[in-house]
Amino acid sequence: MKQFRGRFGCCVLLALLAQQAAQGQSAQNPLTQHLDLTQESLEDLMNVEVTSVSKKEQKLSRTASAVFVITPEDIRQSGATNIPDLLRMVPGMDVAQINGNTWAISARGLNGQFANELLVMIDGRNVYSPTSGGVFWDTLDVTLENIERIEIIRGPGATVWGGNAVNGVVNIIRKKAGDTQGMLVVAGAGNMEPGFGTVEYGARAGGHTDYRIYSKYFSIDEMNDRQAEGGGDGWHLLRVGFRSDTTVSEKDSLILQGSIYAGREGGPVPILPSIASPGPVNQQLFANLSGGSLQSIWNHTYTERSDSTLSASYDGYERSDRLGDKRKTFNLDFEHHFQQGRRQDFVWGLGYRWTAENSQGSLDVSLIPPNQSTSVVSGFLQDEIAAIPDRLYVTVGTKVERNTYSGFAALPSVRAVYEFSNRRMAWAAISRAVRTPSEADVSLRLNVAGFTEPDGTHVLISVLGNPHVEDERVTAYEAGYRTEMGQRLSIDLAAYYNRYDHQNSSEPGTPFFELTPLPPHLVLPTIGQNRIDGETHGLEITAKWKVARRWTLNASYDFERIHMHREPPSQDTETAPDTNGSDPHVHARIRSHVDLSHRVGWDAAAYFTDRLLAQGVPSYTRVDTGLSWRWTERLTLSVVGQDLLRAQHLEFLDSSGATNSTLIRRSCYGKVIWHF
Amino acid sequence: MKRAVTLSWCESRKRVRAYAGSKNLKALSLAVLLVTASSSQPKASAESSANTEYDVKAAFLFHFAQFVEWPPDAFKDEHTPLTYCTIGEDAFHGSLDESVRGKRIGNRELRVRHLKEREQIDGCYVLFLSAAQRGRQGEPLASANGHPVLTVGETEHFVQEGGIIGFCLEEKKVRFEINLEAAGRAQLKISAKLLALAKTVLGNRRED
Repeated sequence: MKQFRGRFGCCVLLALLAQQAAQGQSAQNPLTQHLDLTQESLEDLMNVEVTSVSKKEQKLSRTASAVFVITPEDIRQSGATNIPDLLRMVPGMDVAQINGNTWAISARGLNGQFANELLVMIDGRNVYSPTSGGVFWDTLDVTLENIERIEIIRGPGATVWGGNAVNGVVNIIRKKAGDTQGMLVVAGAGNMEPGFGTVEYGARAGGHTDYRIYSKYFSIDEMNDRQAEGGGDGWHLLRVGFRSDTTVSEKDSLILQGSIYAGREGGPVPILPSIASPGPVNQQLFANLSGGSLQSIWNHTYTERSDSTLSASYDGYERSDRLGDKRKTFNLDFEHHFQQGRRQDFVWGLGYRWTAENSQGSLDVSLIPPNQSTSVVSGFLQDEIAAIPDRLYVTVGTKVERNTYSGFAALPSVRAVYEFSNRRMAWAAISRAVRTPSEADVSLRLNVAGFTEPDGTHVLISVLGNPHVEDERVTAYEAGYRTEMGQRLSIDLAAYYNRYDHQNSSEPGTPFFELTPLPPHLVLPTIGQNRIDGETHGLEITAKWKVARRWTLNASYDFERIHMHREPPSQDTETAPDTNGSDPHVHARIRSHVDLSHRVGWDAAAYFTDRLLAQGVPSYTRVDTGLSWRWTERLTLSVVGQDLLRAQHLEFLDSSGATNSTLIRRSCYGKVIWHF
Repeated sequence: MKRAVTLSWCESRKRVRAYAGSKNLKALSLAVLLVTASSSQPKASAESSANTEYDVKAAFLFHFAQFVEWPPDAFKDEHTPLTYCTIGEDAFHGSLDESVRGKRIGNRELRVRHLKEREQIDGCYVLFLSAAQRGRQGEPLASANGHPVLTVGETEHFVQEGGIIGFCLEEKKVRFEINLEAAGRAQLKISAKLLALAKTVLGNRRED
């Protein structure tokens, strides 16, 4: 029966093609011509074999990684107003707010203000800072209404994405300009935000270009510190940006996008007044933030089985904080994707990044030398092999990177997916990832405290970077299982075991004498080395349940255990225990969305985060809820309450001491979204 | 009490007994095909196999409108054209426009409108949500709910989310599933012939 249909289907197609051939060739471009099949009956149409199965974007359920996608509906229903709050819903992610404008976010452990194991990108452009390897979440200010989706992969994404993608990858993909036409106005205010708003306009220019321009602003009040006084962490930011999508030809498209921003933020910062100070003193400091970026992406289609992308970007920022960090970064990336035969799908690429730093420095923190530039050259190759078509896929790949500090690194991985059926699949992977040294690892100078010996010698305790610091390495063993049960429930499991070696540690160095700043003093340095090893392991379970036509529940639970220890002859007794206890053992989350009526939706979410043993931060539960009302087709009103359970609570005490924590407050806001 | 038929996704191993398939029908179809093929007006050379999937789906959309009955008050008068709407980027790349151009169903002209995101769906009688709409079909489906709009999609869970007809691919052939309950809410009557050809039907079935 099956064979007969197959042959029959071929007959249909052949007959049609023969007919077309008999009618003669058309002079027009084949890619724009279509077959008019409306004369065929339904039964015949059902037997036509179609050759192009969508698409270059892999079917989500076939990905051999722990992947989670945040959709525009998830964004609207969560009531989140920034990216960090959005990431709270993702299993395996550790999201902790340090103060009003600073977050510690990582995946699968090793969290901190400058957590550098997570690669964050916007439309494929890296947005982490090469200074520390961490992400400035405050200036990662994306118009949430323009997000097409956010893809989060927990586990090393190093093969395709490169160094820094040790524990996870977050890619924020924005909507095409053609999908955001017309005028959009968003405005709101709340008890913590005196005001926020976005104005955006999108239109078509010429026959082939869609564009949008936008401007957004927000202002957030300060929260209280642990002494119940004003924490001074209020801030505001104004951003202006654009995007244009041009269809250059049938085979070429060009995306151009960019934005510039300016803002000011306050921080309760510990500073060292002089080299004789016994320790840092808390001070209210303000930093001016400014910067901008420009990105172009050119996509060229060779055939329907092969396409390539060339992207170039510039990113510059300046922060008038204690470091006076001012940096510009250029990226150039090329990627080619093609299918070979019936069973192989290749992606390969080359990348180049050049970044230059221009820092001011202060007594507490500086870079030596203050101005330097570094570059990274990389290449990768990945092959997805259909070992058994529609059943078993094996992906093999490697990335090779060369950076200024640590030379070459190879990041290979092997991944396999087995599909039991369209509704059940299992995957497993082994991969190696590397975190290459950041500028801070190599050039940092932190002056921590000073004292005077009885004989009059001035002594200064400092932390120094190390030009010979090595890459931090991890070998990750992962596995997962996805299934759909019945027609309303889907479950996703992911488990991992990561072996870390050559992790950063702080070792006592040889004391040396220094003449400046006066008075001359003896420096007792601790130097960055790589003498910590260990492992982490954990399990993440996610479930999505459509309880009724109008009610959906999303729930997840994850646990993680971190066991780092120092390798002799290390004398660092602090880093390993601090790392072990800076991530909660358990997260549990549940989100509910109910369509009360055609126009009114009610969302509620609860997130439980376990305590941080090394920091003495107790466990807490965050409860958010929101009501949204589609007043007309064009106007939506919403009211959202966040952190409703406690008036204020502590989430994270960062051991780097770069900034002080404040207590995260209960808040609520109202918002109007109007498009016309 | 009628029970709902369990919906299954397009699994290559499963066969739904309602699927039409007698050898006689095949032979007849082949004969019919050869006749129609010689009298059809093909557009151009067929090197563009890249678009075959959407050419086939465009033809399906044309047929769906032939086998679905809209309530009499859905159209202002007999001259109101039957409008197909797509949202966002045109997944058909013009194939749908070309397929329905100059044709009529039940003496109604056919028209295609390409809506922008967030644009209103008034005046749409068939609404097609492409795979690119994944994750944001909630709003268009909610807008169409209860109105005489035939919602057609191609994401895996389209009919469970309230869409009326969902495309799927099985062994490189286009199949479709029907949500009869959603059709009922839209006051649309789906002919038995279309139901018989559907891979699966969610909702109440007379035979069961």
